[in-house]
Amino acid sequence: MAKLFIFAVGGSGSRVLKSLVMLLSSGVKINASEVIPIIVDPHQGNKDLKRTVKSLNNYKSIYKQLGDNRESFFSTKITTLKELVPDEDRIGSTFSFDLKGIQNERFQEYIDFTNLDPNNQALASLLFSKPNLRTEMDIGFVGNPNIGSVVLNQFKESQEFISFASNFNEGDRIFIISSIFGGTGAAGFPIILKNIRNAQPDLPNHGSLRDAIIGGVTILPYFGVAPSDNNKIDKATFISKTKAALSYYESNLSDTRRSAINALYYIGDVSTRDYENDPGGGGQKNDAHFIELASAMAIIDFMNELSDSLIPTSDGVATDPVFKEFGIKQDKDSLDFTMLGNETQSLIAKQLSQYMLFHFFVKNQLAKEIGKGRPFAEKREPRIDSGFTTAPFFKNYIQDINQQFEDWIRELARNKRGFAPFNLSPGVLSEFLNGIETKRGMFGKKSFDYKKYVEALNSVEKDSSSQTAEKKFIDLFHQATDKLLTDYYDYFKSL
Amino acid sequence: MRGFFIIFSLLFIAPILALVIAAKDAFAKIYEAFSFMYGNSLALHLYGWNGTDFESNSLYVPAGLILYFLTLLSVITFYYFINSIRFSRWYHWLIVFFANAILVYIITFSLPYSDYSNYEIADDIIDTIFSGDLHSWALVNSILAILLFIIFSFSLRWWSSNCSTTPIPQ
Repeated sequence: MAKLFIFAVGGSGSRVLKSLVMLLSSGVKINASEVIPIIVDPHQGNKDLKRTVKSLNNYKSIYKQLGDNRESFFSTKITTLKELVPDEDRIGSTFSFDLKGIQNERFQEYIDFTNLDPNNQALASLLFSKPNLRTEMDIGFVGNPNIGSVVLNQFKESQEFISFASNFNEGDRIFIISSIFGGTGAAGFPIILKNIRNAQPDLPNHGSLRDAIIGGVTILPYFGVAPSDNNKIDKATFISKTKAALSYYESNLSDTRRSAINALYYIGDVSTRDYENDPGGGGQKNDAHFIELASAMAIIDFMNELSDSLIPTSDGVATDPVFKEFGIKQDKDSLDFTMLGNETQSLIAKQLSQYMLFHFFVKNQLAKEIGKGRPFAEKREPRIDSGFTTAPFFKNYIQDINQQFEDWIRELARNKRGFAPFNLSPGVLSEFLNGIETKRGMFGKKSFDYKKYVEALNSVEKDSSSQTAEKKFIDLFHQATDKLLTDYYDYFKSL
Repeated sequence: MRGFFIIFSLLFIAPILALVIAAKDAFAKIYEAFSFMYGNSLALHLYGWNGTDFESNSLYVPAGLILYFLTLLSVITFYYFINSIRFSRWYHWLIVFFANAILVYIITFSLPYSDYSNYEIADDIIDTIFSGDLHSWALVNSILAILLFIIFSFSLRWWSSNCSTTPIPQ
């Protein structure tokens, strides 16, 4: 299987990447041997970026203890670029690309405006307004892709790009996530794409890069920002910027005669909510949005549904590009699983539901069951006991990523358009799914509580042949939640 | 599960085999090790003494079979029919443990009691059998039931999905 390099550009890129991490945590399968995310965002203080990096680090730490070849939660490997090139000291060990020369610097200093000759100064003044030139870049490009397109050009000279190229083998794939209405994403997407397609002979594996299968998701406006007198971002410009960018993409990136991209996914929504107008100084932390989840599913679709023969590249040109949009079954302000398309439901409904049940048990019940002699925990070695629950695997990584999952689900539900497949405080545990009922039994609807959950764990324990406590723990819950969903809901049988 | 069926089959067949091979003597041998508790006179009656010979039906056989199979059924019920997380702690096991012992006590007490209350005991021993002996006899059965319950529990619990660590995790 091929590697997948993901360039997550800007704030939207980070948020989509976080949605992807949640999907992979829940066990959604992607046809890739490993996923290598590279976050491109000048705004390192961006809270969304920090949250994404934290979830990636948690995932990586969990995966390291579980290993390969499993049908379970956390079954896809996620690596940093640094781990592919451990001897290279010039690249960071995190998932982020370190943009140089932008900290505490205005754009005019970056382009050395004051030292330009008069003609070039005049040209620069034509291309960039005075506010553009005075923009402080450590909070990003504040919705100015014209600035981003200059600054992000450093990417092709960076050690990260060279390391990426060195480790790009024939058959590997690339996916670029960006929004079209911001600053970083709108600029970053065409630059990264161009730099890959125009890989020069001095770059390692330049032939493989030029003919790489590249996908991208470009996110159309899906949120607004509240009006503010002092702020540099105005949602009224989102549509005009989108139109301008789409026009550029049409001519330069996805022209069917000389398309640079093999598969382009467009995702947007008419239903929008205004976020707080924070260009970045306050940290920019937006609630998770269903559009980001749909964008993450575009990555899965790109890897799972589009074989190389469907979207070939020849001599740096995608000869048969594919363009896709995303749809839902019912246009409601708050969605649950049943309102999504059938394919979407097949892809994510069971996996996310299993993970939700896993989280509920870990949060509400596990501490009560430890030390009670339950067969799932204590019948066979390795045991799941207080030693396990105080070790870093559980206490730090699992609990942390589970909390992030709950926060993500909560934010998705309260956003507009909302995605609320789960009732986060069900009276009876089996009522945790919105819009989906349990099977009918002899005495009415069947139901289950934590006691039945423990019985499910005990019943699958007999089949568990895991070797470490960590693997046993994850596999047990994956199998038990699968059993509960199959035994109590007809819905999952039809997926 | 195959292991369960093997052990269960062995336990099920064992008393039947004992009966076939050694008939009432198989059970008598075990019980009479405790005859000091319930008295030799009652022991004679239980063995089948009718005043002339030992041709009357021995009560050792039905008592032994009831004790054995009732205890086996109690263990199977706890570990495989109930088999619930809500009834899987060590004190739940103790409830069934004592319930079985009490049930065995009552049933085995009643076996010679009908003979005792109807004076259907040989004349040469009837005056030396007292109700206390019947209680002692029933107590012996309860003690044996307790021992058997423990043996059966630790033999058969391993395949129970929810109670395999009851009463003590291995």
